[in-house]
Amino acid sequence: MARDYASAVRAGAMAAGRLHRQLGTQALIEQQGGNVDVFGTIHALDLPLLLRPLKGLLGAYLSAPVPGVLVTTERPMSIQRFTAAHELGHFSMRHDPSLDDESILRRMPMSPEPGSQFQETEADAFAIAFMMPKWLIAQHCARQGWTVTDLRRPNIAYQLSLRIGASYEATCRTLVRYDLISSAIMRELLDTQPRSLKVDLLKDYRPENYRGDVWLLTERDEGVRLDGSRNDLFVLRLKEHSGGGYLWDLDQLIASGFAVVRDEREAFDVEAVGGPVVRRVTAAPEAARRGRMSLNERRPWQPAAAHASLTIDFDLTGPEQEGLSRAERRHLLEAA
Amino acid sequence: MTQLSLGQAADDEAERRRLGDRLREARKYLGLKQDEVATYLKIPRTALTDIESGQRRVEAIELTRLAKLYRQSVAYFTGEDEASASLPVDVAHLARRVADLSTEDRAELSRFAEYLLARSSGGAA
Repeated sequence: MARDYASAVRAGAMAAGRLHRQLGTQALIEQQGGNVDVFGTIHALDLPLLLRPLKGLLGAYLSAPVPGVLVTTERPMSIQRFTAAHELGHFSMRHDPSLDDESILRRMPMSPEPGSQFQETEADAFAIAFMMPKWLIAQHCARQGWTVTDLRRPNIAYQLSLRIGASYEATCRTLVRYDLISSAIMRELLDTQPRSLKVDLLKDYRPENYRGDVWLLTERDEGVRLDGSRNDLFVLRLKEHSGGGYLWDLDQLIASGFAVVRDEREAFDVEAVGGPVVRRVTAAPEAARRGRMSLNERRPWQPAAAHASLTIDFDLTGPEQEGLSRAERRHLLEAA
Repeated sequence: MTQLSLGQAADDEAERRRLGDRLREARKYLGLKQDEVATYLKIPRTALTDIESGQRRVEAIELTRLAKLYRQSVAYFTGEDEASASLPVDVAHLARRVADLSTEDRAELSRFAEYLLARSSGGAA
């Protein structure tokens, strides 16, 4: 166990790095996109985990009779994932049992722990480094073409948070931790509520509520997989070469299990007549919560030759429900 | 039918109902749906309903498969192995220190400790 704050942070981050190397996480995500599969990892390590409706606790780690982890069902997926990563940290570092409440989300550096132990600091550092490693943020920025300056914009920070599977606030705090933004910028970012970002993205479409997230998807998301929750919506913003007769085939989107709730075209360059436009489509998952969304830009009279395509594997079955995690459930039931 | 065999039949029925209750509880605790489990066992859903209500006998093979799925020992379901764990000493100590720990959360912790114990004593796959 570490004796001071700095070495506790280091120990936690190093343990997370070791686990990632052992699992080959970085190469896997480089290939398929997406986030770190926290629940899948816990299942792969054969660490018993259950989701239960905990009231005051976010999670717990027991070390006896055998190690095991509880995570609450009463929070959004990003918090469940962070809690699970925190408990995984306790397990990885062979900690004493721990009952974890809200404090794991907002623990301030140097705040003393009871008994001047640093195991909670170690587990927090583990959770951050495991779920939001710097290389993951760098990967998403590279794919999306975001520069460090872009990360100061609330809408970019929000889209990044969805892709790494963390809350908007946790993402902003982690960007400071990695020196990608300053604390002052973080405070500005946190002044913006994710709700207003969702309203901006959805324009005049009004969902029943704004609890779900809104993913802005472009050609840069081609071939990725993304993990979201039941109420999430997709806004597709795609360049369309309608001057050449190429149109995005929304029937394919509908066939993938989505309802098109809004569809408009914006001029790409107002000066250029007949140039490409931007097709902006808001899609709500209907039939499928998990599967593959696939659509092509093609000439309706020449359907074989597609000019561009967008294929995304999605899982919008979050957050985790009561009982076994989705990862374990699928492993047990789908293998049967 | 003699008095003795009538008593035996009633015992069997009570036993079956207890087994059914335990199986239902274990399934619900893990958040599994009846139709998911029925598909896993390759039996109709109504058959599982009957098993859980004690109206249908459970075959040994089915019980073994269910125990594997529910991560507990067969003996736990038949009642030969009464796994009842209280909170491990250090967790109980911790729970006392966490001032606002609700009784529900405390109950969840105990139930989970029980699950871990049953799982560690032979039920794990």
